[in-house]
Order: sequence, then structure tokens, then C-alpha cells
Amino acid sequence: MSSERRAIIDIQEMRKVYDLGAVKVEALCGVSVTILENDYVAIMGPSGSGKSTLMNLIGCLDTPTTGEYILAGERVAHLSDRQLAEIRNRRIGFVFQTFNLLPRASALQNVELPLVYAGESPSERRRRAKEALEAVGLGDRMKHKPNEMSGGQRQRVAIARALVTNPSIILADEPTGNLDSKTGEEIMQLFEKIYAQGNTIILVTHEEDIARHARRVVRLRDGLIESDHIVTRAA
Amino acid sequence: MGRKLVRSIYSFFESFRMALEAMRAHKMRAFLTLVGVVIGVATIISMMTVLGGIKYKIDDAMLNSLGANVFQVQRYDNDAGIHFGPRRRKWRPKIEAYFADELRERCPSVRTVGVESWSFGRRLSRGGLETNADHSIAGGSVEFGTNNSRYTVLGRPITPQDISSARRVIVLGFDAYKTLYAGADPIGTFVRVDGQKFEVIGVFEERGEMFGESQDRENWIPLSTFERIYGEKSVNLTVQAWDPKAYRKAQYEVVEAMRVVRGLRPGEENDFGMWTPDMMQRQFTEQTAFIGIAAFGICGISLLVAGIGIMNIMLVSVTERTREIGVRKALGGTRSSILRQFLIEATTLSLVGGAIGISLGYGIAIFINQNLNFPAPVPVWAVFLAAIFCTAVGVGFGMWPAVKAARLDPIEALRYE
Repeated sequence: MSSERRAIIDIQEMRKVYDLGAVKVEALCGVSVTILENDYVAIMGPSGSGKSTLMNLIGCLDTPTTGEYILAGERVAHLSDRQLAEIRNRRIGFVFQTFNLLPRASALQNVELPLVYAGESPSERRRRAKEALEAVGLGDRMKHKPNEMSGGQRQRVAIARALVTNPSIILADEPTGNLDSKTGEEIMQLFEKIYAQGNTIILVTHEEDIARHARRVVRLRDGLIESDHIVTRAA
Repeated sequence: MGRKLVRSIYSFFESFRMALEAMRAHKMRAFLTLVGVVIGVATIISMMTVLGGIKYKIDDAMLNSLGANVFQVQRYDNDAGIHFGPRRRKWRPKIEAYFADELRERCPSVRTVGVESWSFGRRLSRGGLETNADHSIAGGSVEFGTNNSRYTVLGRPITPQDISSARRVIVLGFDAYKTLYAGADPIGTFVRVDGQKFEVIGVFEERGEMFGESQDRENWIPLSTFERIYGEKSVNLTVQAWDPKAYRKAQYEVVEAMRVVRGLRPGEENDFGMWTPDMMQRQFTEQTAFIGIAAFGICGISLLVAGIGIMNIMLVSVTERTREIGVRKALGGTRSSILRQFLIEATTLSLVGGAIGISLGYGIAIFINQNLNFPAPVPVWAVFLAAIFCTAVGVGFGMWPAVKAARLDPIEALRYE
């Protein structure tokens, strides 16, 4: 890691408490983590470890109970719904385990969706969505609906959708969880390519095989960071 | 600001497109939801169109029924229209022809007074040809043509000489001319009415039909001739004011003059009738008001039911699309954009129903009007009103589901199975 890379995510002493009425559940008990630009981080941990909570907070889908979160130089811990929506739109590209494509929309329309919320013109949307689909190798599937595509293709559409706004971070939640291992491997190769192009990738997974693709692995347990280490790779 | 506006325009169109797509995906569901809107809007449009058509026809007919600035004094009040209960009519003395002179004398706002006496259900014949017994013979003074806005297209009208010598001359209505002459020149030939022989001196211009009834069966003979044949019946007086400004004033003067002529004391009821073209229009408006109110009632109830249907279907849609809402939020959709999307969907749904309702209502109106021979101008205000109602129903009943959608927690929504 060269020292001139900027921190894109800076989380300090983040706590998240869910108030379930009778009991209060502390999902995160003071997590501090810094992620640099063009990093490739896997967040791991058993269920209940707080990894989903952390991912939701990183993704600006939720706000912490206490603590600070600076995303690309912007303090986002206590923003309003509208401001968070804008941050999600500009800064975060989500990739979900279940793809979460709109079933009635074509691949192209699905990829255009974040640009609709960004307020881009229809022609600009079309141009950039085509580019993103070509980048994930689906230049010939633009008019297809999700149900006319394989799982791998669907996940590629989802990745194109995540990339299309040129976000700071790709946030992938078990992206290979619904794919067979061969297709999963293909998707991981695609992430590798995206990483090589200078993007920051955060991968949430419980599979060691998948986590191995990352350059850094953060392990959570009981709402705390258990370990945080650089992946050593064979040359 | 400019960018924000552009953004909301894009997202508006996007929402509209999505709404149409959602309808296409669930055609049957959309159709069933729309039935209420369609019925409501079709009712109001067809009723308003038919009423508008009738009114238009009445206005048209009334405008031409009497000449400019003319009103009529008659024995009984005109009581055409819808009646409840038995019709009772108190006997009144006849209107005499000489009253015309009295009115001319006493009423400065009055220009002319025509006198006419009627015999209905007459039959005209010529050689082997004859009309049905549904023609009218009017014994009229020289003002008859002008005051009834009937003009001769062939020959001449009746002159003072015709009247003073009680000539047996006749101006034919267009129907009698058609039946008895079939286009041949009638002037100087003879027709028979009730055994009497009349020389044809003119033919009235064709007026056409109203409510399927020909308006061309009135034939004009001199008043003096008429009274010799049919006796001295109660007459109608057609009073023409000098100009539109004097029209009202002339009516007051005539009522006063009639009361004096009849010797009525103050407080005593008028024992004669007055009729102006706008009276029939007023009567019609009053009598159709309740039809209009009933139509609005039906429309209101069906729109209420339709609105509840729309609310129901939108709630179903929000539940079905919980995940989609989560995805949209994750990709940058704000609460207000989700709210707007579902409101536009609900409104599109009800507007499509409104559009179908307008077309259907128009179709029904055309069908009715064609069978009654009316014009069918769909009132523009009714179309606008229907559109506004539908928008209101869409926004009103779509609001709760849309708010529900907008308030969904993105994390919960994304996890929804």
C-alpha cells in the first residue's frame, strides 16, 4: 500500500443499537476501520457478527447510533434520508446476492435506473448504460429481460448497474451466493478486472474461497473487529 | 434549480412509463380496477352530452320559433315539460283579436302586434294527392311571417289586401308543398283544406325537424278568412318590441295593458299567459337540473368505489414490489421519488379509466343522439371535469399506498421475500 492513497472510508467508534422494545440489541459495539481508495476488502464473519449491519452502514442504508463515518471526505453518519439517497446514488454501487433486478425492465433499463435518480438525460443514460453493459461483456443482451438471462448474466447486469454512476465504492453482498462455483468464479474475475481499473471493492461474504480474492480481510465477531489483515498471495 | 427541474421532468416521464408498463403486466387486474372509473365517467359524459344536445336543439329551435324581440300573449300558460300529479287548468276568457289594438295603443315599447288563430290536425289535398291530418292552419295577420320568423321562399306572404278582402289564399308549409307538388311550381294553383279551396300564393322556407317532429306543417291563411271558416277562437298575440333593450320593458307594459283590458284588480292573478322563447329554455334547465344532479351522484359513488379499488390494488402492488422499492432506494431513490412514482401510477390508472369512460360515454351519447336526431357536442368542460376528478381520485386514494411505499425501510425492503 502506497502512502499517498487517500482514505475513502473512515469509520470511527461506530456503534449500532437496535431497540426491540423489551431488549436493546447491540449489533456493533464500537467498530473503527479505514479503507483506502482502490482497496479490495472482504468483510467476513458468522451470522450475528454484525457484518450485515456494518455493510448497511457503509452503504448508507442506515445510520449509526453513535460514531463517525466519513465517506470520500464527507461526513455521512447523521445525514437526512434525501442526503443519504444522494450519497448512495453517487458514491455506492450495490451488488446483491439475489441480483435484485427489476423483473419487467430490460437489462439496459435496469442499468439506467441509478442514472434516472441522478437526473441524467435519456440519451446520456442510454449511452452510459450501454458502455457499462459492454464493460461486463453483455453488449449483446441489452434488450433482454432478467428472466431471459442466466444467473451469471443477471449478476453481470447488476454489476453494470453498480458501475454505471462511477461510484467510489462497489459494495457486494454475497455476490456469488446464488451462483454455481464456475459462474461464481467468472464473477470474481470480473471483480478483479474492476479492481484493476482502480475501483474500490468491499465484499461481504462468509465463504473463504471468495474472500481469498480480496487484498484485505476484515473479520467481525460479536459486533467487534476480530482481525484485519492483508491477504498474502502466491506470486 | 434548473437541473432539479430537469431531473423531476425526467423522473416524471420515467414514472409514467413504469406505470403503463405495470398496467400492461397486469391487464386483467387493471381492467377490473378501472371498471368503476369507466362507469362513473361514462355516466357523466353521456348524460351531459345528451342534455347538452337537447339544450342545443331547444336553444336553436327557440331562437327560430319566434322572430327577433318577439314574445307571445296566449290564453293559457305554456306548461310543456315534465309534470307530477294530475294537470289542472282553470278556465280563462278568450284572448280577442282586438286586444292587439289596445296593446299597440298602450305600450310604447311595442313595435307591432300580430294576431294568429290556430286550427290543428288539418289535412290538405290537391287532385288525388293529400297530406296526413297532422298539419296546422294558422289564420294570421300580416305580421305572422315576421313574428314567427317564417319566410316565404316561393311567391309572397299575405298582404293587408288579402286580409281586408278575406281572400282564400294560402302560404304552404314546406311539407305540404313537398307532398302536394313534389317540386312543381305551386303559385296560382289551388289546394283544399276542410272542403275549402285556397289559391297558393307562397311557400314557407324549410325549417327541419325537432325531436323527430317536422316543423314544416304550419300553413298560413288570412286571419279574416280563418275566422269565417273556423269561427272566432281565442287568438295568440305575437308582440314585437322595438329592440332587445326594450324587450323586458315591453313585457311589463303588455302585462299591465292586458290587466287593464281584462279589468283585473290589483292582487288578482293574471288570466292570460305569456310565453317567451327563453322561458322554454329556463323550464328545460330547471327540469333537467335533477337529471344532472343524479348523474353527478352516480358518478360520485362510482368514483368513490373506484377510488377504494385503486387504493386496494396499489396496496397490493406496494406489497408485491417491496423488494423493488428497496432496490430503488439503494440505487438513490428518495422517499419523495418513490411517493411520486406510486402516485403517478395510481393517477395513470384512474386517468386511463377516465379516458375509456370519456370515449364510452361519448359513444353512448352519439348512439342516443343519433336515434333522437340530435347533435352530440361533448361538452369540453365535462371532459376537463372528468379528467380533474380522475386525477383527484388517483392522487387521493393513491396517497396512502404511496406514503406506505415511501416510508419503507430500505434494509427491510431488500430483505423482503
